[in-house]
Amino acid sequence: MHMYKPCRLAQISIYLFVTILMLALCSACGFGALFISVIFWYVMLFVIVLSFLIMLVVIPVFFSQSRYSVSNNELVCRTGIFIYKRQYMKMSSVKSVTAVVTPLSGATGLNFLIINALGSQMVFMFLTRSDLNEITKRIDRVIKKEEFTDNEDE
Amino acid sequence: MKMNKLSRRVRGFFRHRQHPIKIISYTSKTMWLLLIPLVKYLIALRFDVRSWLVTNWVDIVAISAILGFAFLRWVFIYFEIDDKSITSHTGFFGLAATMVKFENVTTVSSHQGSLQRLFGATTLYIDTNARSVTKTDIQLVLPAKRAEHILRLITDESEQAVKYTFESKKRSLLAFSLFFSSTFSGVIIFAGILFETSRIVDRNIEIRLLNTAAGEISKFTEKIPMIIVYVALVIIGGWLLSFAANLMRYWHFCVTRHGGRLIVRSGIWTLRNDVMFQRDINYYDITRSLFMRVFRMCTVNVSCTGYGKRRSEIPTIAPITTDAEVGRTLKMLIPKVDCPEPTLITGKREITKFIWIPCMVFLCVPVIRQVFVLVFPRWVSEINILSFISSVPCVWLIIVKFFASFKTGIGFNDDCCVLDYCKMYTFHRLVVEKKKITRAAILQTWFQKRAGYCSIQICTENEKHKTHMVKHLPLDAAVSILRTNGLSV
Repeated sequence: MHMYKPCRLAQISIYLFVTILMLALCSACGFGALFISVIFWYVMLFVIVLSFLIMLVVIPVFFSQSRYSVSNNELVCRTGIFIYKRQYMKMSSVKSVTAVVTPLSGATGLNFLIINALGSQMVFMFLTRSDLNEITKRIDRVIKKEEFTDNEDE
Repeated sequence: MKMNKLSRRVRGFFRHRQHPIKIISYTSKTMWLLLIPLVKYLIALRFDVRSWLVTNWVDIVAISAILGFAFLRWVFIYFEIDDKSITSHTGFFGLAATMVKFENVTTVSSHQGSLQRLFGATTLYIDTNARSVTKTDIQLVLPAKRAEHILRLITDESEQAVKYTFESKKRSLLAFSLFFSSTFSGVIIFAGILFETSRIVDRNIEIRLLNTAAGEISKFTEKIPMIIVYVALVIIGGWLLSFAANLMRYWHFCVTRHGGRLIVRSGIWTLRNDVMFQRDINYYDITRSLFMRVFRMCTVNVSCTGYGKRRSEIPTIAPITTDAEVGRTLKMLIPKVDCPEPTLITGKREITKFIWIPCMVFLCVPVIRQVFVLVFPRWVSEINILSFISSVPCVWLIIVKFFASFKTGIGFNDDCCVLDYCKMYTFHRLVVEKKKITRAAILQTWFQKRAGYCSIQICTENEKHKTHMVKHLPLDAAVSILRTNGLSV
């Protein structure tokens, strides 16, 4: 059983992204408040509160809760913010794997692995590139091995 | 000799092409908008073809181009069959080839609409579990005999086996259409018809018709505002339309088990013949509404790739059966799947957990009503009626969830798993083979975490991503029952 955690770099990237978005929205609201209506001050307040809520509660909770484990027989994913979720998938059910590697993912940690089975899916989020490659190889090896034994039976 | 060769070639050409009626569906839908005025002009000119050609040559060229393009598509799209597979060449110039091996087929259906019946054509659908194709893998419009031949090839009807047939009684089908008529889809079609009426007839005539209908109804219900009468008219009309469509779709419903196949036949307007393989049935789902539960009736649906996936179809194998008969029906149709009894069930202690959300929604209704009265003070009577109407489904949901708190659970035996759960207003009993469970999950909200409860989410092999959730089970018991059955969450 191999355990993986979401990458810290991804957490920093999301903090940065939320901060930039918050600043952009606040400047737009400030512009609106000065030239259009006073109501934009309230919108700005809402944006600031929401951003801090995301940065101080949602992101830390998500990154501390999320764990992924991979063994020869099963895949387990523990994640959740408001609803805590423990997912289990048999390795024999896996039909394909989609690796989503974003540009500069080495620095940002924004790598995702989508594991597809017939009728269901499991997503491993914010993996380091090495973890992503390792899991992909591991799943690939297990699937290939199965195919091999199937052929042997024939 | 030459003539013989030529006729053989022509026959060979047609043998691998779809029915020529398909050319019409390859034309643009707007072609009729060009064609009707053209015919009108021809009649107005008393069939003076020459002046008709001079005045309308642009339209005629456009229509000829559309027809020519449709004809070319028909020529390029062809199919090939051998003993073990079928290959369909589609796309522009027939460049995309889809090969399906008969052993991978999950469902093969032939649907014959009444218009197709006139021309002796049938639409053949072939589906497999390949998830790369979201729609039907192969869809061809063929001469009826050819379609029948392919259907026989795929399903290997030479197999000698006993046939078991389940036929629905006519009054059961009436009840089925009554319970499963979707008001929403009917309303959309009915509203569409009303909207389009103004295009076909005069707008004034449409308003006069509606006013007459609404006026007649208001004679009996004078205190009801006009807008509510209109809404009621649309809803009732929509429901009736959906009811009639369901009745026509499932009339003469009959399902036969022959060896490893289930053959489903139904319909008046469109004759449907679906053949699915038992090995590819992912699960069966015994579905009931609260009314059906009271009258001890149920419907058995199955999940098999390709079956019941087209618009407004329900994947049923027993439209209406009684609680007493359902076991026997299933034993006859799907003997391999043995339904276990649920061992972990909710009860009295979980009632509040089930009904608190519907209660909150119900309490929101008067609050929203008050807000609307403040914003639109001139519409008080309409708002009162609407708030009363919207509180009815909330109360109904509370009653349904109350019953659900006694009918929710999970159980396993050596091969199968049973899930009893309620989704909105419908009760489900889902029976799935353990090997077909692809994902299991334990979900906990903050409140559930504090109380030591959880929800179990199960995904099975299926065409779409569909989850089945059994709510409000004690965490320890839920984890232990999953672990003992090889789902180590």
